[in-house]
Amino acid sequence: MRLSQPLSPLIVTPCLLLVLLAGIASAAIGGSTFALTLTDLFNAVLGDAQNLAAQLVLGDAQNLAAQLVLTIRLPRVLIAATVGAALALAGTLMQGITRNPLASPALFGLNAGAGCLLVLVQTGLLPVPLPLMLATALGAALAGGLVLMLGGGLQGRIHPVRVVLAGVAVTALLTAMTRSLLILDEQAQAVVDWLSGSLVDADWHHWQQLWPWVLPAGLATLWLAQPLNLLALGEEMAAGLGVSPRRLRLQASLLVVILAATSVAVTGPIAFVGLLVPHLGRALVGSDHRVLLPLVAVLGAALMVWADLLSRLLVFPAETPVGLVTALIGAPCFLWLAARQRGAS
Amino acid sequence: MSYLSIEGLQVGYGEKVIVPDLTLGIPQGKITALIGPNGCGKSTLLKAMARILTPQRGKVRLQGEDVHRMDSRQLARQLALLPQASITPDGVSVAELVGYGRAPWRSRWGRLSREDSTIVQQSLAQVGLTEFADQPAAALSGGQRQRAWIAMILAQQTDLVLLDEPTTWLDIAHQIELLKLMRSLNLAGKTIVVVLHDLNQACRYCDELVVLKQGQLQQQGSPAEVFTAELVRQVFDLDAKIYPDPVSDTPTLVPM
Repeated sequence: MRLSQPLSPLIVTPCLLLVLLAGIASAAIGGSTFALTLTDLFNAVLGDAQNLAAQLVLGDAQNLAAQLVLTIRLPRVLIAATVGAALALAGTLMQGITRNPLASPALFGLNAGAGCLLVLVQTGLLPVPLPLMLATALGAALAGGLVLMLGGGLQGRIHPVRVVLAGVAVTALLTAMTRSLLILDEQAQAVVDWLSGSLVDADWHHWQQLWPWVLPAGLATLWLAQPLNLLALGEEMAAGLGVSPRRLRLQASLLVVILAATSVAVTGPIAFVGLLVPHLGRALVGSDHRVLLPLVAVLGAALMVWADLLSRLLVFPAETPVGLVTALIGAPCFLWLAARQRGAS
Repeated sequence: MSYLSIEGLQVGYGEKVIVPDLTLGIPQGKITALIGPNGCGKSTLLKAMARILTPQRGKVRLQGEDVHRMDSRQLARQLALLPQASITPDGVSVAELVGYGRAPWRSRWGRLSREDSTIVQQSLAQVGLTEFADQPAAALSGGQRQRAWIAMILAQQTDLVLLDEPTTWLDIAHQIELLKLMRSLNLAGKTIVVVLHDLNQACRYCDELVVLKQGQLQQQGSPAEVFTAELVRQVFDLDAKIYPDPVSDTPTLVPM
């Protein structure tokens, strides 16, 4: 399924970083009803930002373009990149600890669980005033735990097929519950947009909620990189080399819940990034997690930033939810990867 | 006290007890074979020795220390395991695979020093895979792959090596090659405990037999002492005659 020779990460990483930067720049100025230029972006970011901030506080709207970039575009693009990286890392960790190529936050019920609990809290059916982030994290953890339990995790052995079936079933059940809740409670209609994965409302406030979780968790994944490589040799081999598979799975699961739940809380469930990006990453640089993890973070970020731009251009000037765009890009890519895998074996 | 001692061990999977109460000692510097019919608990015992399975009762002590209470990384510097089911990951070269054997000795990040690379080279040379170092491990043949795993265990530089049916899936020539490699490791100073299915190979290539049936110790001793027609009938329910092997003079089983 891989390229005959994995490419050197020294070549791939700078290329991807360029793609990411170009994506951030394009997404920051593109797809807008205002005609923004690169100069506006530079002025906004590198120019006298402090001065601008002061203007914003005073409500002085002298430089509309820069203001637009600073208050609306920049947080949105940064959030897109961070969420993309977080989902890609979560997917890579999940595929690493389950040794299941289909493992991803969406397929193992994390997204559906987060969404369901969020709707429960928002509609007031669950009479506990949980903060948004905690509700999604709890929902993701509960759903993920349930999927692993049904997949045979209790007996210490996660069955590769059973766990996928459990994921599909739990996702279907939770999605159905969420939808019925939305029908019952018309107040919750605002959640519908969120449920298809959207960056429309992303602002600095969301960014403040996002990065303090994703950054430490993202860095912590690197601490698990080599143990994940050893786990790839089989559970018993890993134990023989001094890695406790159970402890490693627990640590990785905790990071997955943090990464996936904070992302879902801000943007809603976004499909295919967590599933697809790890496969693309492995096809590019091979399966050494010490290289793979940083790479998928960049790749996921770049994919999301471009998907965000596309979501604004697709039916301009209206916006398509970014979750739909990632699914539109992701599904054909995944089919292509699957077909290539068959060709190789 | 023995080098590796099993004391009142009860172990199994969940509710199912495979080994109810076992006490025995494994001598240092020898090759000990665990033999017995299917389901007798020989692999279970090996996994308990390697702290893969946690005992329900009793202890496994390596030079007096309880292996189930030791730090797993520390133990991995003294005890190496070649499990039956290991996975050769995609996109990993033979040298990288062998380098994973250095993991217990290195930082969590697993960066190899120059000294580690030398050890990897030596291990590859010892199993005769030097020329395959840069090839993908997944592309090796069955026999080569098993040798690559052995090289990984060599790179781990442990005194004790546990092998769980290392000859399964190999053709006869590669089986013998592997058993000879095992002997050369032993001559280099390693204590080896191996689960084997082939009784004649166990008699020929091992110093000590541990014969198990239904999780109970039946006999322990050198092949010449314990491997008799009586034992084979009692343990395997098989009528057989025992002759000396014409090459090595060790006992050989011929079924009736």
